[in-house]
Amino acid sequence: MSEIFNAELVAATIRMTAPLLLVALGGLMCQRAEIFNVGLEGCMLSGAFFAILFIHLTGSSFIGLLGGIIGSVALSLIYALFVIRFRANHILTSLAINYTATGLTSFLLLPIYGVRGGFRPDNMQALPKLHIPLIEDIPVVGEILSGHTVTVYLAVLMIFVTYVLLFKTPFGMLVRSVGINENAVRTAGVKPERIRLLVILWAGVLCGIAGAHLSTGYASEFTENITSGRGFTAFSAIVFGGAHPVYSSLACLLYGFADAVGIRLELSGSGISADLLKAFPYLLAIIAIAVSSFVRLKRRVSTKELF
Amino acid sequence: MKQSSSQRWRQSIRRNAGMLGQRALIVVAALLVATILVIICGFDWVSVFEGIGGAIVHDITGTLRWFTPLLLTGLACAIAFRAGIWNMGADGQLYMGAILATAVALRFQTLPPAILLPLVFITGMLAGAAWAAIAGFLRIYCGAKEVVTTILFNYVAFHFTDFMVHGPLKGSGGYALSESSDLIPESIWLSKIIPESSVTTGLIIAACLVVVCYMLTTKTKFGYENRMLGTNSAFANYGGIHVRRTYMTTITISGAIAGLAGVIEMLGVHHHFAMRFSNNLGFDGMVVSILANDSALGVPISAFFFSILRNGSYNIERMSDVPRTLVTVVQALVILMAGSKFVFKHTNLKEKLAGLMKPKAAAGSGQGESHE
Amino acid sequence: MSETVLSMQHIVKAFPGVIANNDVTLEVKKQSIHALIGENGAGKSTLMNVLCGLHAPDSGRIVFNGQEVGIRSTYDAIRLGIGMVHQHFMLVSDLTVLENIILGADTPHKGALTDYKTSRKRIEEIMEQYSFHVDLDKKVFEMSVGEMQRVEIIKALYRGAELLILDEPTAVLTPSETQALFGVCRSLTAMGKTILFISHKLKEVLEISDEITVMRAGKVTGHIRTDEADEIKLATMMVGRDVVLRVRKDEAKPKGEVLRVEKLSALNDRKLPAIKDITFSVRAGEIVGIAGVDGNGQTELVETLTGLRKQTGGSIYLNGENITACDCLKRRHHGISHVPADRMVFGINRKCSVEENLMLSVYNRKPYCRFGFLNKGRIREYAMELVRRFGIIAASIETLVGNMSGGNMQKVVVAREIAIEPELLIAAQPTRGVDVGAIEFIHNEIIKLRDKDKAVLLISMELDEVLSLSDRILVFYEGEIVGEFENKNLDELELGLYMTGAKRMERAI
Repeated sequence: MSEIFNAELVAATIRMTAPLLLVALGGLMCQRAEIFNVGLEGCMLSGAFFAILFIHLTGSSFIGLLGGIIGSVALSLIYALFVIRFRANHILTSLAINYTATGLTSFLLLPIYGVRGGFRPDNMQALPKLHIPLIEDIPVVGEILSGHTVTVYLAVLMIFVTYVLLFKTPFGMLVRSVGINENAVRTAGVKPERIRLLVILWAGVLCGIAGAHLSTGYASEFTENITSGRGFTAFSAIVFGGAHPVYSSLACLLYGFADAVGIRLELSGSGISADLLKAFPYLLAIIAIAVSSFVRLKRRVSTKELF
Repeated sequence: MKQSSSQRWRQSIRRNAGMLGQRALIVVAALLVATILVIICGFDWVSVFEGIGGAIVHDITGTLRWFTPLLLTGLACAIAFRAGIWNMGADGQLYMGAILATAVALRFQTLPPAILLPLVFITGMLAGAAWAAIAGFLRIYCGAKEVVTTILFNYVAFHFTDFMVHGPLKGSGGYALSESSDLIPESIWLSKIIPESSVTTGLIIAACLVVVCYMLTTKTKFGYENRMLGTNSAFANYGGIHVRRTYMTTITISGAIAGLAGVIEMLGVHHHFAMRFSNNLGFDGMVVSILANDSALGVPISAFFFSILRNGSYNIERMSDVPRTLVTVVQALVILMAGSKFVFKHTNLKEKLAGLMKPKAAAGSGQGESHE
Repeated sequence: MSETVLSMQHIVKAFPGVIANNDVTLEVKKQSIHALIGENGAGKSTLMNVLCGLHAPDSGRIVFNGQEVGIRSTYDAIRLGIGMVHQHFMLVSDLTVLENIILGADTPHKGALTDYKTSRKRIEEIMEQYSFHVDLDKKVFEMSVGEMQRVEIIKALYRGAELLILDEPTAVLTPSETQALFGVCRSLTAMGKTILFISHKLKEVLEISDEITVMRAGKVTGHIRTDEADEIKLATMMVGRDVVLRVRKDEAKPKGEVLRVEKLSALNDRKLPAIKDITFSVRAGEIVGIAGVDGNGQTELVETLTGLRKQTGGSIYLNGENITACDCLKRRHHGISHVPADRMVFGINRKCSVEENLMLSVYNRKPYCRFGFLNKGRIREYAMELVRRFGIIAASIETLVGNMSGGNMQKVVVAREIAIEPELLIAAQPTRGVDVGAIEFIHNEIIKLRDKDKAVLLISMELDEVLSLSDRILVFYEGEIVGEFENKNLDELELGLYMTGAKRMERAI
């Protein structure tokens, strides 16, 4: 057991959780504003791709990070255009965003880099790892807390930022209101569409960082479908946590932990199924959604809803 | 009577032709944009079309191999979408169908094929149906949106099937691929209807199912209820349609068809359960259904188009440099444009109408009072 | 007291097909409570929507505080000091009261953060000043309707409202909440605010207001000081008719009882009692009309009778059989058919064809459906027959209903519900939004149905319609039947008094 449950596991959990966290924190704002955005996966993928492209062009990992954000936000803009301006179906549009990202990022590898499947720039400069003085030297704690990529710390910081943004600022108040009573916002003199646009773009920014983290912090290369469903996982963490920054972050942690333990279980060959362990958080999420929906169903005043 | 009957035919043809034309336009536009992309990237666009053409001319069997599962997942999605049910879980239902069918086929391999084969089919369909029904149940009794839960159920299904091929159904001996089950008994493999290909009787089953679904959606009481639920559930409820029952029936049928897709893939092509074999068939089924405008007769056409693309993409990669993920881009464009159909209807026409209706209602009596 | 704060002069606002405000002039004095009354559809709400920036008037001018103003958006109105408390509250249920009040473009903030402290202080000052109180940290969904309304009023005051518009404020309140609201209103005017009070309940208006303006059919029909007014005067101004559209029909020959409702009760969407212990019956071969001002429980009654809403007590009999426990479908099979008032929501399916709309009432009956299979040929013939018989104008039965005119849509609904010759037809607002020709046609179809010895229950907010069609009239007020009349030589004004709650009779049941 000790070869599974050790400080390294905790560090791995943090590494696994970070990208989920970023995406979930962005996506939950959309969720709050009643935007069904599972295009997060596509935005993240686009972010990962453009991060590598910008590193390839400039050699700077920070410009890479910026590139990732640009790539992701560009896709978010398309999503926002269709969903807000054309009032297209949210589900279909997110689906299209995901297909676009999967298709384009894989397709463009060849014309841009002349390779297939994946690309690692020669001038690859990974995102720097942050070694925190003093803490670094404490035996176990140092191993856990220090030496992660900057984006990991950024992700943790974002929990706090999102919390404050959502619950302590006028903007957050509007976001929370738009999803519940759009007309209340409109009569208060604010255009709900504007709030929705900002929220989608904000989710784009965070997905971009998450994508850049995957390709330039976590893997040091872009491979086809590098996100491998993390956007969907983050989405389930959002609904699991009821679109609350803290609870959804905890849900991300659970998913990250299941992943980290899963890998170790597979390697150790201990006979415990890593697959069932990975399925577990999703089951929990379903139960959580069922329960919370049920509570809301009972609280609902109107008798008009059919089911 | 005769006069109006022929009129009706003419109109019905005109309307269907209109829809077909519109969809064809979308396809052409998507292909055009993709072609421009290919040209911008400096590839030889002629070879792209040669590749796609080849999928029909030289390699129709390869196209038909993909046609079968896309047809089935397309139908599964279409029947749910018609009722306004966002079943995003065709993939999961397909896996659950396939894995349980495999388990039964391996566990009872000693049974005579005449018994085993139906048993395998029924198990697979039931598994898919049950998997979808849980989501339906959660929607009706807890209010949990199926569009979210079915996505989550997909992941549970993925990991569960991973577990099965790593554990209880782990392949051994003669067919010891690390990530798949043993081969199922050859006696229940679906027979090939075209030799040297992967085109099996599964295609015939799928074709029959198209007819069944067409009948179901257009000729039966259920089809009417299903459509009313999808277009205006309040209207359906007012007319005495059992909204909840229709919902459950629909999502269960949808799951059963997805499960069947899994069984046929397993029995006809793979002959064992290979881990994560689906290759996005479930989501592609959604795209098929969207292009087909959720119509049972449109699904074969749409599925055929996408199977040409899918098969053609392999040709393209073989014949030229163009990466086959170009197809995914085409799919994205198709969804965006087919989805935009709603768009223009909603923003322009519908809004104008709504604007006209409201004050009119106010004129009649007092609607305006409570509305504004 | 005499200074005019608001003057709306010669306001004209037309919508396609109707003039909602026809040369309306309204003068409101400072520090007064000015009541604006009228039936539904009289144009009160349109006038108020013009005032608070939701509609632009076609002509006319608005003078506020001595200055001519142009109000182009709700934001403009807020800045001028015109605050509206909508009938449907504009509150966010998951936010606290404090947050709801400060929500908007001008939320106070310190740096990036919301400045709860300052705003809390300001709101508490306002509450102190007008001496009423709500818990600022409570979430809105935990509050009663009366409290929510108070939040709306504070919200308006917080935004600096000088003139407060209360749109049907008592419609959702209990009697004690209403009294509390009146207290608030009085203290507001005492502090210098002006209140525009929209209502159709005469008693309340007489109790609370200083002056009254009456509207009918888009015009102002009277302006009176409250101390000079009484219910009869107001009712005359409100329901006086120019033309009464009478339909030619024979004397009713009622037969046996078809529908019997005993002590029926039900709740409204806010879970408050909407209909209270109602008992009445409808006989074969008669049309029973329910008269009443909108929102007095008619909608809930219809929904309860048709099975769309659960009753909380009492029972319903159809031809002697207890159908209280039956769902929508079973009630339809027992012979109830329903022309719903909310046509756009569930009366028709806009995305479907005429045929698909018409078949709803027969699709699961023989011979149109056997063993789960639809007999398409029969259904088509049936649909085409109805289109012909009811004069529905459509290119074919395949035409999308959403593309048709309002009158034609209503014809589709009426055709569908009448053609099956139900035992009982419940017709709610059967001619809403329909042109004159179609009205006559629909009325005649309803009478034809009656003459075939079927029972008809007619619910309409339009007194004209009730008077011209019904054989017997029940008057609804606040969920109860307050009057029952044979429709012979009826005095409309008398009826108006019952409808507005000024009079009631004890019925022998």
